[in-house]
Amino acid sequence: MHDGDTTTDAGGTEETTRYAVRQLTRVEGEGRLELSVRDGAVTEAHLEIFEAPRYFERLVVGRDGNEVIDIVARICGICPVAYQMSAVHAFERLYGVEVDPVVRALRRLFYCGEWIESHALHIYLLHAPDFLGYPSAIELAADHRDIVERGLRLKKLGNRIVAILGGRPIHPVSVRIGGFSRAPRLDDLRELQADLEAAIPDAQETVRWAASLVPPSYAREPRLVALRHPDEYPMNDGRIVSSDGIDVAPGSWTEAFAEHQVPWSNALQARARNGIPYLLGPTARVTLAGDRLHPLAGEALAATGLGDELRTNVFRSIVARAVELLHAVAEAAEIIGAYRPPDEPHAPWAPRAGVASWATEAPRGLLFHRYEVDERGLVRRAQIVPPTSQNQAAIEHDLAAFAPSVLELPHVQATQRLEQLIRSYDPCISCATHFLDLRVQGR
Amino acid sequence: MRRVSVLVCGERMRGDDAVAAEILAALPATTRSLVDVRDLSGLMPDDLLESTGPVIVLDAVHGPPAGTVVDLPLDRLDVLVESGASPGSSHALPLPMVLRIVEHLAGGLPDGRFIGVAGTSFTLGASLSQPVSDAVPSAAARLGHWIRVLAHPRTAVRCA
Repeated sequence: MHDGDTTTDAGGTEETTRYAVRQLTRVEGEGRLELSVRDGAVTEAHLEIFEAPRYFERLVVGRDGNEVIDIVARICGICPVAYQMSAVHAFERLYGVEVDPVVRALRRLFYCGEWIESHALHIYLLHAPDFLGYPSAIELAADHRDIVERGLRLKKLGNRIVAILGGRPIHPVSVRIGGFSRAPRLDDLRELQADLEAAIPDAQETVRWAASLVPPSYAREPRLVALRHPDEYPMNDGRIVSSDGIDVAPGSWTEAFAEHQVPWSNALQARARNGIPYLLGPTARVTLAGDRLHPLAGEALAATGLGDELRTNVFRSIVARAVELLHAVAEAAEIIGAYRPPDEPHAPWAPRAGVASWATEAPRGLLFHRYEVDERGLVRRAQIVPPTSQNQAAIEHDLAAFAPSVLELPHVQATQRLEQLIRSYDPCISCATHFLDLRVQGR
Repeated sequence: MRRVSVLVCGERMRGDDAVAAEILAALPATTRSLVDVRDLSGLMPDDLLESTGPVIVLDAVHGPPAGTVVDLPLDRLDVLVESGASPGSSHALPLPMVLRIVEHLAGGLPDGRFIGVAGTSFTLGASLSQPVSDAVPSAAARLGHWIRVLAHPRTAVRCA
């Protein structure tokens, strides 16, 4: 580990060893891990998120829905589409907007782009070095140029989709209540379709390769939470379901879950109402909605033979992520193949007072937004619950369960294993730290 | 003449993280016409691998006193990192790591510079701090100089 020290407890009879990873690397944002170990048992496991709180929930107060959609895209440079999708669906639900089916498909394409971009980055540049014994992607690129180039090729496709639909490659600006500010021309997408189809073998190889990576031994049956839709793999629509029976509407997250403050983190944590931590993201989606995967992705998953292990060994999340990458590439090609520009890029709408709330599936898992809106359509109060803050309790739970198996390893190896575990969640700490209430922090 | 790519890193809504955009905005229009500009939140390897000509990366810097202008060749960013400072772009793949990956994949880095200004406040919704705001004209002058040098490589040889 980066740091370890031994302290004596208040009674002076037993020793508590405190391990600290002072700066987590290869995650988005700044965080720290602290473990306390007594007599070989982990007594505390804290994932400390100390990046400066970002007050987006305050920033959107007094803004209308379309302004909110533009502002929340700034929360994260990796998953801006997710923030826009949760927000736009929340407002459309409140205002009773019926979007054109073509627009609905374009929004899935938009999400496919973000999943491709985010998953390729994480699989190839952030997580794979752990499995292959490299300290970072630099050394991986030196020894396995072909692997890194494959990852970059796939990622670039995701970037292109987001740029075409969003108007720019980062912080997209085209999403509007009712649709998009403009629909892409057929010519804009035609070349992309061919490139996506040509990339399917790369994506299939990603699944095979990820499945060949040997994970640390670990097994725990987590509570899984994801959207589930009767007809499609979950992205923008469906019901929030769990592996143990939760089943609520996408706007009703607060019926089943709640946020709370923990003293060691700037991010609020979320748990189910009964206090149980839960796991979101590719593992949860593949487990709870795997029967809705694109046939190519379903076949690739089946060929790995890892369906059960995916559920219980969080290190295998890299395989689930690869399966979703393949799904997104294949579905994106199909959406473009069927695309005909809509008559109007956005439907008309009028504001009304009420609560706008919705959840969609960000690359890292369920992202819930809730806005209290006045009769002019201006936000009076906002709640944004990103997936990393929801996964934080599960991460700590897994750290406490897994750490005893690495405590006998040299510090460097133990640290590497624990960081690998954290990276299995693809945490986006930048996303998770924008909702701290200063009054609470000061107490 | 070569077209120069200017890669603008940082989040404009986050205090001094907006300095890259401000430096670009302070560039005279005649110089601006010599470059292709790309806005990025954080630099990724593919951003550099796609560049066919010289590149200038603009970013905020953490570490040195606020308002310090950092101007280094792309292949000498290790000097910055060894001094305890770091470019402010994506934490997921820090800029020095991006450059090393590109070196491995492309056999070297594109001809280019890193120009940054050390920030002090990266709070969401804040404007540029005074020291950073004061440093923008100087950084923009450095940017203009390097655009002209990189666009006309023979001039660069004579000047050296």
